[in-house]
Amino acid sequence: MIKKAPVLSLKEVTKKFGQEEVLNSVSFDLNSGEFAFLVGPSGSGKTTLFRVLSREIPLTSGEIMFLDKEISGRLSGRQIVWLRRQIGRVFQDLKLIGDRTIRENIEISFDIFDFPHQELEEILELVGLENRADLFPAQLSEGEKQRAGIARALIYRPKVLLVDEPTSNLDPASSWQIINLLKKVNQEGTAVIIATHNEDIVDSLKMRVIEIEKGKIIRDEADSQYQSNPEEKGKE
Amino acid sequence: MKSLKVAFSHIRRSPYQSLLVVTMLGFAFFLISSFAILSFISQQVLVFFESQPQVIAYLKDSAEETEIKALIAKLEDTGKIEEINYVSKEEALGIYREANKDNPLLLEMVTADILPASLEISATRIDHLKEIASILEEESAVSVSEGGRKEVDFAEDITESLKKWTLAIRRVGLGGGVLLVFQTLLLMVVVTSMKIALRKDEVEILKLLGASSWQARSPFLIEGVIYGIWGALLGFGGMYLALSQLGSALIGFSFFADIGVFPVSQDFLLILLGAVTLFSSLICGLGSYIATRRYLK
Repeated sequence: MIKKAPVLSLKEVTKKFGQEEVLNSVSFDLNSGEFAFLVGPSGSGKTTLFRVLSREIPLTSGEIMFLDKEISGRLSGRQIVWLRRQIGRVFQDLKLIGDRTIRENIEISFDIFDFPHQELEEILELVGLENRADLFPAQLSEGEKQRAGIARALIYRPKVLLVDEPTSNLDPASSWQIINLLKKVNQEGTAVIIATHNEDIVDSLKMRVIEIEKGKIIRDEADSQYQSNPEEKGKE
Repeated sequence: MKSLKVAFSHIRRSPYQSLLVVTMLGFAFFLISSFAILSFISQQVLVFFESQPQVIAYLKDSAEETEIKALIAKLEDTGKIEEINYVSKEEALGIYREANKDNPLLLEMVTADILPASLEISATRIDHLKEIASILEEESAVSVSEGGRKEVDFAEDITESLKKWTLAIRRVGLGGGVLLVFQTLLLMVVVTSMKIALRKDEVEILKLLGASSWQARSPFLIEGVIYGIWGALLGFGGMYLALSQLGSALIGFSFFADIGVFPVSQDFLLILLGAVTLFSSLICGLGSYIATRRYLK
């Protein structure tokens, strides 16, 4: 069997804020079209890992390869722009612009890539926001905002999509809608990593689970379940 | 990226700030346009006076034609003469009659015999008048007054003061203009910085989504240029209205009517409008560019 080349490969990635080590020698590969969960307690380094991967912040040491290109060294502005167009992100705080409608928020991505807006309606339909597009973010539910954030990341069909806590503050039905949407994106070839606390979803899907604690990967198993430690479970 | 659309939405979403910027720019460019017009008018007045006979030398009745021709040649050889007109006694009478046609008493008993022939001389530059006058004062063909002075008239005081005024207007205009341009630049840097601060989150989102530096920057640059254009049009419009009012009031004065300053040339106004608009948009664009370089690293 031929092993697939990883789209993203991390080796000994470490990130320190001052003396505090937020990521500690994180290593894993992500294959093209793979679907994985990144689980771990709050403050374990999940969001920091996503920020490092999209070069929002530089890493302290280690190596990151993306599509066989090293992206952990010093990158020019142009290279960072290229990288962010390849590694899409759905942010935990969604980062929707408050004084623009959902349609306008999504149009931003079309404009960044200079894509014609014809596909906009199709994307809105895909995320189920076709009738809510002319409302402002404050007028939408959390689930709808989450879907808008995903829609914005889908436009340019990134190679990897990093989704940060997509189901926090969502009821189970809305959470499943979001996950199904992300699975659909994954089926179209985008590798997806979801950072989440949602055990039900992780356990039900039986996909790869990367567990991180205090910045260190403590488990990386395919077809796995959440298996969070009882102490953490009790805290949540 | 539809930068123009985004720039207009920025303007629309902070209307009072935008209005303040445009009115401040409008005032600055009103002053700049006014100085430009004032400088243009003073230049026209100066040119008018320069084109008039600036030195008149009255000739002795006994002066021979050859003597007068030699004098003309001597003056022309200096290279500082624009034009020399010989005015005979008969022509002098004609000028006198024309000037006093409304006063028959002054026309009575005046004949060509009592009026002297003269040379009317225009210099290439007002600076040369003194030198020309001093040449004439040494010439024997020029008549001598009862007080023993050569009869050479030249409007030294008027032209000198006019020249000083023109220079002063230009200097004040230039100094004021430079100061206003500097203020405009600072205003745009400050305003654009404020706008960037207000839209910091939006810029951050754009960058995280993969927008290039230019895509994040261009709406602010375009916004600056739009303010520049609007400010210039407002300032020029205000100046044009003021000029129209002033022009219609001043055109009645014979002084201005003779010079032909009013109405101000439409060609000049169009060129001024184009120049002010272009300059304003460049300055405002530069101000915005400085702010984006500083705050959108």
